[in-house]
Amino acid sequence: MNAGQNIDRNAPAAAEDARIKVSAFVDGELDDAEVDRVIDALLASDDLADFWADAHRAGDWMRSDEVIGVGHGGAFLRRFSATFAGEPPIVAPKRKGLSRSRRFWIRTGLPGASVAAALVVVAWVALPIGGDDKSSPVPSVAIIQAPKADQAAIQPTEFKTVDPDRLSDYLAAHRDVTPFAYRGAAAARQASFTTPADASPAP
Amino acid sequence: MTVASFASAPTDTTRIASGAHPAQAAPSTSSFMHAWSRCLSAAALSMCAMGGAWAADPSVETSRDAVALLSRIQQAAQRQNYSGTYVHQQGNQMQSSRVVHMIDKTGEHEKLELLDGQEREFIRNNEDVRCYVPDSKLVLVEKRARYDTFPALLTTEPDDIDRYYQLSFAGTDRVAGRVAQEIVLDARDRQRYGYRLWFDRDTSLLLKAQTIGDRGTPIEQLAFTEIAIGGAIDPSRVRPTAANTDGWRVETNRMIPVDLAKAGWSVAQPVPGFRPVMTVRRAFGGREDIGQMVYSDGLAAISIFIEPVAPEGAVEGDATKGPVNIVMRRHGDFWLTIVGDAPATSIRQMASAIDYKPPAK
Repeated sequence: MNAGQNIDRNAPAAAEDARIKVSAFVDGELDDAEVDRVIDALLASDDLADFWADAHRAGDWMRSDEVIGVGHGGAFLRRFSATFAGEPPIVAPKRKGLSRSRRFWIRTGLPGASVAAALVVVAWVALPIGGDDKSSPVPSVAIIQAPKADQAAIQPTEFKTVDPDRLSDYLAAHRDVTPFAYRGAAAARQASFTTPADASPAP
Repeated sequence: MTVASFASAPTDTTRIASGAHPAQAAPSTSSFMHAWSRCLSAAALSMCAMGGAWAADPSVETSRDAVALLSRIQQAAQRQNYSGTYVHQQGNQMQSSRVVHMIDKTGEHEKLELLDGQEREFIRNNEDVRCYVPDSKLVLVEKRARYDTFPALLTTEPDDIDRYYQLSFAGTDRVAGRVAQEIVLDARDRQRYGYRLWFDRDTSLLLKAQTIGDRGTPIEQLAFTEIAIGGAIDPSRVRPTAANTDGWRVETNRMIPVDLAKAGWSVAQPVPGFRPVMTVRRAFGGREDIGQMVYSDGLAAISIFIEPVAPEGAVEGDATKGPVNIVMRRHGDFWLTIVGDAPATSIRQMASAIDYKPPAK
């Protein structure tokens, strides 16, 4: 009898506990003995293994601006949304000085607005392949920077006050000299690198 | 440019059994290491968790092989006729472009049209580049020391690229209807991204490229969706679409080579493998006198922008856009902006290594 079977046999509350353990495992917050128990549980339960995979994907998506794979976004989003919706809103004072558990508290004690923001981020990130977003094709760096759930909850976004167009200039100027780059990045900036003296009629 | 000692490159070439990115093999805690070893024994689970895993086989055997291979890909982009459409994907953005590349006795001629968003096209004749913006009746003129872009790949000659990337073949695939050989360039340390490249088996032209983040998953990709390689190309296909640009405004982007080392700038200890490849003075954003030092390890590049005055509203801090990280900071009376296709820690390291000593008068 292993831990996984114990978990599977128990009531929904135990299943929920198992998921929290898996979530903590994903975040590297368990000791060796707990890791053993969770891995046994993962090997014994397909549902738990799916949850584990989803947790990895969710973490990756929320912490980075990764390329989205085509074809699996919808199913994953539904599971992710259901997971978030079903997660108990634990309201607890934030423990100070425990960086190891910081993400755990964010995960389980995220204020409602932040949870919603996180879901919006995932939905927003997943849209582009088949989505119908008609907004600017090159959103500002500030927009990219802001919606990471854990960062938004903890750190101020330094570049909120910077004119995104100005950062776009730097990005474009950098990509001017980088072969492995998309020329569209340079094209996205407005024509602002000029001096009036250079202006002349086109040939 | 004063470049002090480069830290020695890591030499560990051990491949990760599951094919995961090497960065994932560096445990941050003992429990994670324990979990990792358990996960390796549970093959099904590990495959499930490592979405970006790939099974790379034989490594490119010698440094010379690696250099030759990448040089061949680079030359294929410069020395052949081709035309096609490719997409760029980064995070939530996807944009498509059409490229026509023609070679004749006078050199390279290229037309690149952006197919999404505002209409723009780049016409290149060797190093002379003109960007046409019909909506604004504007022509941007640039003369560049280099203008290689996808499907070109390299920033410099890749003479020691295998010190920083582990090259290996990973089978064949179809890209844009052509048979492509995939190669994997795993970063040997955590200070650069990895890459996966698919090049045409017959012509060596790069058909698809992915930048691989530190979790082993793609964070940016460029890929042809259709392409024709070889054959004659009518010269009219590399001319601007706008037949008549009378009355259009012309703006010039001047990029003037300068010696910023003589002006007192140096990078004491750059990220290993990154060497200076270009130093220019240019203008953009309505500001002139912006120095730009470009460092590269052959594939990735880091730009250091130096301005005598901080841009209006500038604040010190970091920013991220897909694989590009940015650090902005003050340095004495100067304002520095470091932009690079490298992890944030590498960009910060470059930022910290910049030094300025006013030249003796």
